[in-house]
Amino acid sequence: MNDITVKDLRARARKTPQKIGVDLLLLEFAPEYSLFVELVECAIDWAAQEMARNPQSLVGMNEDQLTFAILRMLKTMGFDASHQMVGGHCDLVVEGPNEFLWLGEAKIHNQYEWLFKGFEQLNTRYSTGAPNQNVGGMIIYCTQKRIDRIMQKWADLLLERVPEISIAHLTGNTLGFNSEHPHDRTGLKFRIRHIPVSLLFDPQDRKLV
Amino acid sequence: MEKIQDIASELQNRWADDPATELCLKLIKFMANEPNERLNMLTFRNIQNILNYRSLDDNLVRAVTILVSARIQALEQHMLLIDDDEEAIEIEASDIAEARASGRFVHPSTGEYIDDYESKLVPFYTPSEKFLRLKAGKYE
Repeated sequence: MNDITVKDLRARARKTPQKIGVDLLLLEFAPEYSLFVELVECAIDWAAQEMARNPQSLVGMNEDQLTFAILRMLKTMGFDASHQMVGGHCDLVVEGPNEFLWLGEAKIHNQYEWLFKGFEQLNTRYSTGAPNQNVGGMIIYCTQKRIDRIMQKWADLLLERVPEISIAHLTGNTLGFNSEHPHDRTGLKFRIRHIPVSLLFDPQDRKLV
Repeated sequence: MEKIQDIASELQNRWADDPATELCLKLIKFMANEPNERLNMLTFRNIQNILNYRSLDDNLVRAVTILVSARIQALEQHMLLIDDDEEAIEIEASDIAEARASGRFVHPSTGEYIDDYESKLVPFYTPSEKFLRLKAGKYE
């Protein structure tokens, strides 16, 4: 029987998590931070979509429980992901080869001040801003309507409060956006990807005859 | 002082309840007990045979990923190019990095472009230097 090739590994990977898993393994051979980040972001997007598909199963969960669900999904794909001490208890810590680091802060949106607290935790408490550690994420659990407006208002607040920040909407997931600003510690550009997770469950059909 | 058992403990703590963990532990035990010269080229097929695990599935891929990871560092990953002349050449990470950047893979010996190169790349694994040191009783 022939040895298994990279093409064989890819051929069996039909779903997104499996494809990410194969790419993650191959990344270990030739590490590249931008590819590591791409895989993490793809995984987070997929997890957010999975959660949005069945919001009724997540009703009543607190921030930690929701984030634990994402952590489990990341670990199933093969990421070294955890909730751990990185200058404090960071919600999502994903570690890769060559000291690659991606940090995520997750918040249930109730008030914009709460989101901003999460941003500042990520920006000033947990992240190093060092090379190969200068990309992170904010995961925003939304149980309200009109996520587009929530995210726009959130982006506006960041533009108001964070010096030298720039905002760029994502081309794929158009509800999310990237922010980028000079990291306080290093001055290097620190990019944070802001992703909403739609958890509104308010079906109207039950009110009808 | 770290020992091989500590690697196993880290696995069980970090990846508890993960079916891949059992595969990792079996492979670690095998490598700890097998002569080093028989561990020079562990392909996925070899690993399947060692583990008596027929499926090429998510658990197996994840088990290898965990063992190769910076946290566990039990395995080192290598890549073999089997070219059209059936010559086997071990390639460097830089060869893959260049292929990623350019979209084309250059044969490291002939300089020719290789089409469908991933069908000719065979990943294989060896115990990492760290694992071999721990196995030899040279604690970290």
